[in-house]
This record gives sequence, structure tokens and C-alpha cells, in this order.
Amino acid sequence: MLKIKNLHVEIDGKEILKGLTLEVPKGEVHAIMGPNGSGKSTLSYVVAGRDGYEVTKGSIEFMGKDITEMDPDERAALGLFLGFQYPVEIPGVTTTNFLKTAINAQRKARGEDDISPVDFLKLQKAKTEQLGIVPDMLKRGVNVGFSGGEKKRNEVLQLSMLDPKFAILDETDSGLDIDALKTVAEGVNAMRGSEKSFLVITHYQRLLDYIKPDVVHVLAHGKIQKTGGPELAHELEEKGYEEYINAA
Amino acid sequence: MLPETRHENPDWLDALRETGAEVFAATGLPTPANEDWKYSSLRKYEKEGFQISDIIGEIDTNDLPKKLLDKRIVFVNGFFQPRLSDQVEGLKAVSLLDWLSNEPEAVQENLVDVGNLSDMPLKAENTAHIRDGVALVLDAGVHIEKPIEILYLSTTKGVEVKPKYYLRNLFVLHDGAHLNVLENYQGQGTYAVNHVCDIALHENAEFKHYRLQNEDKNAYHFCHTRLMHHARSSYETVTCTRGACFSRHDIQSLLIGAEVSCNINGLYMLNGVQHFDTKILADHMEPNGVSKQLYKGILDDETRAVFQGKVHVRRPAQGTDGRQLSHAVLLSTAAEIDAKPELEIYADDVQCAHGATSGALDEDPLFYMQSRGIPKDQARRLLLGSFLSEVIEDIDCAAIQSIFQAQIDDWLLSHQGAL
Ligand SMILES: Nc1ncnc2c1ncn2[C@@H]1O[C@H](COP(=O)(O)OP(=O)(O)OP(=O)(O)O)[C@@H](O)[C@H]1O
Ligand SMILES: [Mg+2]
Repeated sequence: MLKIKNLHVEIDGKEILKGLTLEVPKGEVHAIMGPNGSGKSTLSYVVAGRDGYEVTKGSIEFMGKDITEMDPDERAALGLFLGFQYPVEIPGVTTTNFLKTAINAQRKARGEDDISPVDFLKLQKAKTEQLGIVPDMLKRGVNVGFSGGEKKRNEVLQLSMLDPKFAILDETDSGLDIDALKTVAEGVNAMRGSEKSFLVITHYQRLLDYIKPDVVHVLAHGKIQKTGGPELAHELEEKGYEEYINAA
Repeated sequence: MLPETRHENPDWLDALRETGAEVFAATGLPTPANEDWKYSSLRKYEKEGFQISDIIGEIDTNDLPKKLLDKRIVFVNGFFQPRLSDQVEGLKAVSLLDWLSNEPEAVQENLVDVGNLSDMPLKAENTAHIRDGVALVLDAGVHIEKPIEILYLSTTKGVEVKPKYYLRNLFVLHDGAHLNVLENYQGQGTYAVNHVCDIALHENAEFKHYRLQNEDKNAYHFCHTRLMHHARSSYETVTCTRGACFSRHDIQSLLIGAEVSCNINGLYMLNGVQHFDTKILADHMEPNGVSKQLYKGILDDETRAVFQGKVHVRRPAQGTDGRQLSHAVLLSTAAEIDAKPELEIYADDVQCAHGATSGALDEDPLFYMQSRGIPKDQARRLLLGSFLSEVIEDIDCAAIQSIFQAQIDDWLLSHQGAL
């Protein structure tokens, strides 16, 4: 589903990703772990298409298409989603309005009609209840005044309402209390299936106890240093990243 | 096509015009050397060579812009047009000329106190040329809650010169009266219009006063508003500015009674070479008054906006709550905002706050929205629209709110390419 080949990325002329290769096939959940500053968020932004992240070499393929030159909204309409490590506040735009606008924009890009207001409200109600989100939050500006944990839940709400084919979750677990972590994991697990893939970025084994990954990668110095099964996460939990940090 | 001359020239009025003319002859047009005009030059205006014109070409309903509300009162090139206007119940007078012929003493009472004209050259000039204008007069206890549109149409049709129009507007709300009005300024061609607006809010009166300045992009628009706020009266105004190449709006709110409430808000959307200057004074003289100012705008291309807002709290005005905020989004590096919020406080038990921000549109929310599938131009419109909507969110009249919302949407859509 997602194929990244020999990806080199620069920010302001500084190389952050240095030949990263990664493939996430359809239906699989992959986890990426790695020390602070190793380039995990950079990878997620560049896949989502953020300005200022210059791909100097290599390619990103999604669903068989090279998306390297596409705008972020085009990528989203193809079925790509990024759960932000630091969700952004949008004063003045309510969460409900934001969600409806996003859903309809994606539908429009795919040549589909707008969602009916009734269907939208039904969907929103079902998902907010499932994720234990208080309806009051939907009337406030997107993420404005939300606690850290509330912001992360809001990311998962957007994920489940937009129902993408592929989602990158960048430290969606940090900031969540234990109950919220379970709810969020249940939300993700409910979406798992043969058609969908996930790339989960995390620092903690705990999340991977709930969302069982098929494959675990270690990212350090802008490259995938090691790839293994779920046991690799346990190993990292014990030994840390020393081996990879010193590798350079 | 001028209305018949009736009792429009009583001696006191001639004397008033004379005074205006003398003062203006002495002051001339304001220059940036004048602190009040520091950021706005009238050089270009002067070069246009506008001339006084009394001509009103044949205008019929088809020449008028779409009606925005149920009832509409129409002025063309400075004069009331009864033929084009609707009847409104509850009004003692509609135009200054009408009111002059019916109750000259009452007009005199409301018109002679013009303030210190030498500080207000454009008001002096207007005073020299008092002819017609809107005059809405409500007796005590009369309530007009349904909004009325007042259309001021300026045209250059059939006019040989570059015309200059003067309007002298009066709103008089006696004790406990309520009024809801939308003033709509429109026009075609290169013209100048000078409005002076005097508002008297007697005890417990309530005036909701909305303005839509959508003059021709080649026009010059001046408006000087003076508000007399008696005890427990309340005033709410929102001005939406998107027209004229140059506009200047002065608002003086004199809070001469206790416990008054005065909200002066504005939103503006500028492009090309538009210049928009607002100067507001809220002068608290008695206790427990509330005054709030919120101005928000979007500036594109080489536009410039000026916001000079001042809250003056005199010693007796204990318990005053005064606030003023100016926020601007600059869409181009050549656009400029000069915001100067000011507080001058002589009472000790007061709550006052002021602030000003300006800057480009934040990139982070734009990317966040795009990552959810919202195209960049739509994301910009949504962000800018919600930025401006704050100014109108507290308007409780749904009809007015949706008129302003439509103006915002329309401006943003027409800028799709530029955004
Ligand atoms: N806008 C920027 N300008 C310059 N350097 C940047 C910029 N953004 C990120 N970097 C650098 O790129 C490197 C990778 O950052 P990134 O955020 O991808 O790390 P990360 O692996 O997500 O770390 P963490 O685990 O702390 O979230 C860091 O050294 C960071 O300082
Ligand atoms: Mg990160």
C-alpha cells in the first residue's frame, strides 16, 4: 500500500531523512520506534505532503501512485491520514464544521455527492460515543483549549470519521491516560481489516500491547536501522536505543 | 430633479452653514501634520478635483441594487427619494428636509450642537453644505425592532463633473425608543461622499446600527458620527467595509449618562490600493458605562488600514468597563496596518483592556486542514471567514447577521484566485 524508496529529505537545507526505505503492505500494522530527533515526525509530515520538507532523492508510492508531488489534500482524498503528534488549534472553526467540511471535500475530490446532514450527524454521534468524547467539544473551535489527551482523542475521532485506507499515528498514545489509551486502541482495532494499513509511531511498548503490530522498525539517523517482529519492541524496551545511536 | 425648496432655509440654519464655511475656509483639508490624520493623506483626493453637484439623473427601481431587507428608504446623490422608498410605521420623520418643514425647532435643537468644528474640517465642510440627509426620529417608547435598510446611492450618471455629495444624517431616539437600521452605502463611478451623522440616544433608548460600506472602488467615503449617550441607553454598531479607494470613519461616542452600553465593532476586507481609516473615541463621563470596540480585517495587495481607538475615562466615571481590540490579517507583504489603541484613565475603579495584533495567516492550521482533505484555498477561506465572523457572532438579528455573512463569503470567493 505504501512504498518508500531511498527517501532523502531536507528541511532548510539540512538533511533529516537519509535514504529511508519502508514498505507497508495492505492490511498490515507497522510500528516505528526510535530516539528523539531521529526523524519519525519528519517522515510522517513528508508522507502527508507538508510544505518545506524537500524530497531530494527517492520516492513515495501510495496505492501504486507516486504521490511525491501531490498536495496534502489530494493525498488525503486518496485515503491517507496523519494523526499529528501535536494537533493544531483552529480558532473559530468548530470541530463539527471542520469534520463536515473535510468529509465533503474528500468526497468532492473523489467525485461523490456531499454527505447528507442527517447521515453526518448519525456518524458523528456514533463515533463520539464510541470514543467517549463529550458532545460539548464538538461545538468548540478545533482543539482550542483542549487538554493534551482531548486533542489526541480528537485525532482519533477524525481518523474514524474520515475512514482512510492508510493512517500514520504519530505518538497518538502520548498524553493519553490508561483508559483513553484503551479506548483509542479499540477504535484503531475496530478499523483494522484486510483493506487498511497503519503506521504507528510510538515510544512505548504499552500501546503495542493493545494494537499488536505485524512488523516493528527502528528508525535512527534518518534511516530504518532494523526491522523485526513484535518482539523487537520488547527488546527496545529493555535495552534502549544505545546500539543504534552509536551506530553512526 | 431637486425636491421643492420648502422651509429649508431658516435663519439659524443659514448661520450654521456660514459658520461651517468659515471654519473650513480657515482649516482647509486635514493633512498628516494633524495627529488625527497622521496615517492618511488627502493629496490624491484633492487632485481628483471633486465638485459640488445637485444633479440626480433619472433613477428608477431597476437602477437600484437588490433590496436587502423588507423595508428600504432610498437616498440618491444626497437627496431622499420618496418614490423609491417604502413607508415605515412609527417614524416621525424620514428625511431632514421633511423634518425641517414639519418641526424646524426640533431640528434646530438636534442640529446646532456641532462640537468644535475646527478640530473636524470635513464636518465643517459638510456643515457648510447642509441640505438633505436621513432623519429618523422616534417618539418615546416607539419600538422598531425589524431592521430597516437605508440605501445611499451615489451615481455619476448624467453628471458632467466628478461629483461630491453631502449628507447630514440624524437619528433621534427619545426615551425608551428602539431602532434597528442597516445603512447601505453604494455607488458607481468616481465620486466623493461626505456623511455627517448625529445620534441622540435618550434615556433607555436602544439603537442597533449596522453599516455596509460598499462604495465604488474609485470613490472617496467620509463619515463622521457623533453619538450622545444618555443614561442607560445602549448602542451597538457593526460597520462592514469593503468599498471605496479611500474611506475615513470617525466615531465619537459621548457617554454623558450613567450605565450606558456602547459597542462599536467593525470588519473590513481590502484589496488593490484601498485605504481605510477609522478613528474612535469613547468618552466615559458618568459611572458604570461599558464600551467595547472590536475591529478585524483582511488586507491584501497594497492596501492600508488605520485603527485609532481611544477610551477616555473621566474621574466621575467609576465602574467603567472599556475594551478595544484590533486584529488584522495581512495577505500580502505590501499591505500595512497601523493600529493605535489608546487608554486615558482618570478614574480609579475601572476595568480597561486593549490590544492589537497583525500578521500573515498561520501556516500550521492550513496544513492541518489540508491533511484532512480540505484544499488550500478552501482552508484559507474557512480560516479567514471564521476570523472575521467573530465580529458578527453576537448580532442577535438573524437577517442582519446573514447579510454580513454573505458579504464575507462573497468577498472571500471573489478573491479565490488571489488567496
Ligand atoms: N523546521 C525544522 N527546521 C530545522 N530542523 C528541523 C525542523 N523540523 C525538525 N527538525 C529537526 O529534524 C530532526 C528530526 O525531527 P523529528 O521531529 O522528525 O524527530 P522525531 O523522531 O519525531 O522526534 P520525537 O521522538 O522527539 O518526536 C530533529 O533534529 C529536528 O530538530
Ligand atoms: Mg516526533
